[in-house]
Amino acid sequence: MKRVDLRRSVQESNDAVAARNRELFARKGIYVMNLIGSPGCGKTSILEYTARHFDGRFAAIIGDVKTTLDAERIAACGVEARAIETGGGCHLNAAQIALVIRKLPLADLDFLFIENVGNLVCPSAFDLGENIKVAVLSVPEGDEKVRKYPDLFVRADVVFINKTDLLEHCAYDIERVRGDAAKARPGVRVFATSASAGAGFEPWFDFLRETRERAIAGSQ
Amino acid sequence: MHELSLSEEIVRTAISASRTDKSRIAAVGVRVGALSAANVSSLEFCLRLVLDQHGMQHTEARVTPVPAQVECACGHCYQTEDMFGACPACGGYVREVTEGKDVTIEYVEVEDEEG
Repeated sequence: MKRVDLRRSVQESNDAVAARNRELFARKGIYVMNLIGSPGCGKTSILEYTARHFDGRFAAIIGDVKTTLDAERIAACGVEARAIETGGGCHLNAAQIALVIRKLPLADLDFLFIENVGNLVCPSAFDLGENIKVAVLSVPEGDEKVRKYPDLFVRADVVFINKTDLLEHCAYDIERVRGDAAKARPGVRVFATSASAGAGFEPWFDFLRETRERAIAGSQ
Repeated sequence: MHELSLSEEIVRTAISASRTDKSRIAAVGVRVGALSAANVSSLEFCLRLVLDQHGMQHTEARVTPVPAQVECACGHCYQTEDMFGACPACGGYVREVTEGKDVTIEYVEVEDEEG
């Protein structure tokens, strides 16, 4: 019997496509974010608010199991939006992104938001070629989500705590969530927002401007 | 939730990388990180399914769980099941995950050619 050592990541083929996506985004100067959160946490609402109030050129790719409803919501804000219907798939992969970005006006973009399928598990394992992973939580989900889904939060560069307008109705320890997020990923940026009330977005907009400039300067 | 597609990738890689006929692949060794978003028993189940589909009933799937390994800012490296616990050396929380995020295809065992 002969043992052949391989030591290859099962993500190798996805990672290769993700690297090509990343290279293309860097060449075009597009800062890319992969939004991951539960169904109903407010990923699309955060994008809608950002589309309406942030002064930047951006497009969105929206993954859902079924329907193009969320992409239509984003398009209604005057932003180029494309839907990926996974037909049951629990996450987006790099090849799906590679196909869709061919149809986007890349030369006219500064930012690309990729809204992943609503799921806190699988999307965290698949690199799409993004600059950062953005985890989205919301107050009614409860304050233990970071501890329950460490696979995502050890990878998340940014965490949203959305629906802060509901804090007065929920037993939710926001400082606990901030603390857990910082333990899972030291240096993580946390934004507490209410997309429906339009609260807490200014620090997020500052972050978008600053990190994109840094990323572009770094790649030149 | 995506263990079936991971299994298909693992079996495809094992067949192509072993550079031999699949009838001679006796075992496939896979390591599953604690932070890989994949479930060990579900992956075992799916690997068996996919191997059988490929006519590889003779191939054993060996799935080994791998704990998370972290390196603290103080320099201490340690294994942990609790990503929210303090570093046992310095009590700090600033650390990098150095192992346990991936699912890796470690090896294949190939039967010797006869004759």
